[in-house]
Amino acid sequence: MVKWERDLNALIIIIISGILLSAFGVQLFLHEQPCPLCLLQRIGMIGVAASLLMNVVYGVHASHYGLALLSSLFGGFVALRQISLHVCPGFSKFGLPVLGLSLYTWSFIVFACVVLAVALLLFLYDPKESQEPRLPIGLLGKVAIGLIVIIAAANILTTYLQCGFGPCVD
Amino acid sequence: MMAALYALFTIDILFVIGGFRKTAIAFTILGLFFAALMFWHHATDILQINW
Repeated sequence: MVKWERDLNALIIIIISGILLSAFGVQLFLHEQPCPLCLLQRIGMIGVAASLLMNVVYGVHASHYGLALLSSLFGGFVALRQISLHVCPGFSKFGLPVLGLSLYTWSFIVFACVVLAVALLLFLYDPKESQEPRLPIGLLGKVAIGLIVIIAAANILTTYLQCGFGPCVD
Repeated sequence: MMAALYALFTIDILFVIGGFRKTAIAFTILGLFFAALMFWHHATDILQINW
């Protein structure tokens, strides 16, 4: 069960990496610079990925899920804040819509799905199994590690190029 | 500041991979705390929101 759970955690990290990569695609190919709130939502996603990565590397623990929930709570709140800035009729949207919804709305949906996924994974969580010795990291886990390290490092570079080491301009 | 926050989370991920579990947990909490401060700065101070 633990191996299966860890693969599910790795799968969520890979999905989040895909979302962050598509955000990079919008930034690099459509030349749309992310706003500070968008950057904070990305940080929330990286926080979720880092927390779930602990499950992949060290085995499943409730504290790792707790960190993932905290990160998604943070990211979801930032997304909700940005939605509230543009939600009133007559106010302009920020950025290109995807399937009719803005990227920050999609971001909120992603964080809500993470909360749902963690809640479902907590049903599978068995504290006895988490005491078992660490299993080697599987292929999905290795892919998840590679992707999230590259994406997190690339975010440092692009954010530095956009904002420097000072605060980002609103 | 934002780039430093990304650097903090990247170091956090490297700690996870490197086997420093408790340090990684502490870094995640620290990163989220700083991110919350940054959010407060961008979401309320600059826009001068009246709660």
